[in-house]
Amino acid sequence: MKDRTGSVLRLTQPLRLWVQRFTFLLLLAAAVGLMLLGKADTVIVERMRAAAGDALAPVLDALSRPTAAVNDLIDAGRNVYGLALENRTLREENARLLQWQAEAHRLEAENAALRALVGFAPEAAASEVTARVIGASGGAYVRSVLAAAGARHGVRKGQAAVAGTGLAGRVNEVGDRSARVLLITDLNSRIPVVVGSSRDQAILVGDNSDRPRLDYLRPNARVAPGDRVATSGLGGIFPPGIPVGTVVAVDGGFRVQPPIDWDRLEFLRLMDFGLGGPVRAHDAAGDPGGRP
Amino acid sequence: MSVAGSGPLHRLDTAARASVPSLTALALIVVGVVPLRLPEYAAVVPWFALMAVYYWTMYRAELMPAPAVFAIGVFQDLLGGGPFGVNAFVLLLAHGAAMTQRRVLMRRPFSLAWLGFIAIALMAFALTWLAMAALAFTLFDPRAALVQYVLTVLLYPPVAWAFAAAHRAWVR
Repeated sequence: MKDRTGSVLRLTQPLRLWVQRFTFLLLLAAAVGLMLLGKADTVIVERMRAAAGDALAPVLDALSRPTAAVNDLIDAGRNVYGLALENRTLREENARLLQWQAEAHRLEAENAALRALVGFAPEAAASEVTARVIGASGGAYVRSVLAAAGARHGVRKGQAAVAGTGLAGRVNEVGDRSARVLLITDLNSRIPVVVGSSRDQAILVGDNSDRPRLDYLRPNARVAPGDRVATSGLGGIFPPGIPVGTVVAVDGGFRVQPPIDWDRLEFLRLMDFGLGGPVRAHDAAGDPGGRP
Repeated sequence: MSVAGSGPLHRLDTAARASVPSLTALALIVVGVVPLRLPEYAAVVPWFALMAVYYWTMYRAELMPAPAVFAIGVFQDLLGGGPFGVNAFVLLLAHGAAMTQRRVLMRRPFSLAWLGFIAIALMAFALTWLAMAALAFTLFDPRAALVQYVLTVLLYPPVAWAFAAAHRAWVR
C-alpha cells in the first residue's frame, strides 16, 4: 500500500508529523471560522446549505419512500393496541364534531352576512405547494425538516408550512428543488399569535420541546387551558388566522399543544399568501383603504 | 494487494479504495437524515459520522486524514440545519484524540477499542453540547443529547462490524 509515497515528496518522519499537526490546527481554526461565519448569519452559509439540500434531494426523496412503507408497518403494529379505546374516543369526538359543524355552518352564514354588511375585502387567496418531508435534522439541538420542493415549484423564503390542520413552521432556506422548514418548536422560532376569544396577543416561542411556550402575554390576559391559538398576522410574515394549537398549562406558564404529530411529519403544505414579507405588509397596514 | 502497475486504471482503483472510509461516513450521514417515524427519533439519531471517523482513524488513519474529517463535519453541518461548523470542529478534535490513542488500542481486543470510543464519544457529545449552548446562548436540556450518546455508543459495535466488512472487501 505504500505505492504513493514515491511521489514528489518523501518527507522525513519528524517533518511529516509537523506538517500533519500544522494541518490539524489549521483545520481546527477553519472550523472555528465556520462557526463565526454561521453566527454572523451571512448569505453564503444559507446558499451552501441550499446547494447541499438540492444536491441530495433526489437521494433523500428515494430513501424516504421505502421508509414510508416501513413507517406504515410501525404504525400498523402500534395501532393494533388500543384500537378499541381509540374507536370509542373517535365516536365521542365525532358526535362532538358534528355539533361543532352545525355551529360552524351557522357562524359561516352569519359571517358572510356581516361581511356583506361592512363591505369587507377578503384575504388574497393562498396558493400552495405540497411537499414530501425528505429529511429531518439529525440531532438534539435543531427542529427543522427538509422538504422536497424549492424555488422551481414556487416556494419562497418566509412561507408558512402547514401540516394537517396546524401551522408547522416557516420556510427558512430555499434551494432550487428543496427547502428547509424551521419548525415552530425550534429554539429560534418566534411566531406572533392571538389566544382564544379574548384575542390576547402573545409570541409563540419554540424551545426544542414538542410544545412551544406562550410569551409576552399581558399580565392580566384572560388565557385558560383549552383556548385556541392562531397566528395574529403581526409582522406580516403570516396572514392572521392560521391555527396553531390549543393552550395547555405547564408549570405555572402557558404552552401550546399543536395538532401535529412531530414524529410523523410526512407532507407539508407550503403556502404562499402573497404577503411578500414584513415590509410590504407594513405598507399595506398604512394604507387607509385597508381599514375602516 | 499493492499492484506494481501505475496506469490510469490502477490509479483510479487506488483512489476508489482510498475513498471508501470517507464515503461510508457520508453515506451514513445521509441515512441519519432520512425521516423515520419513530417517536423522538430525529432528536436522538445516533452520531454515525463520529463512529466512522473513530473507526477509520483507529484502523486506517492514512485513509481518514484531518482534511477528510473536516469535510465530513462540514457535510453534516450543511445537511443537519444546525449551527454551522460545530460538527467539523468536534469531529476534528475526536479525530485528534483517536490519533493519540490508536497505537495503544489498535492491536488490542475490540472491547478495548470500544471503551476508547465510549470515552471519546463522551467528550465529543459534551463538547457539542457546550458549543451549541455557547452559540445559541441557551442551556439545552441535556437528556436528548444523553440518549443520543447512549444510542451512539450501543450501536458502535454493529456499525464497526459493518465497517470491518467494508474494510476487508474494498479497502485492502
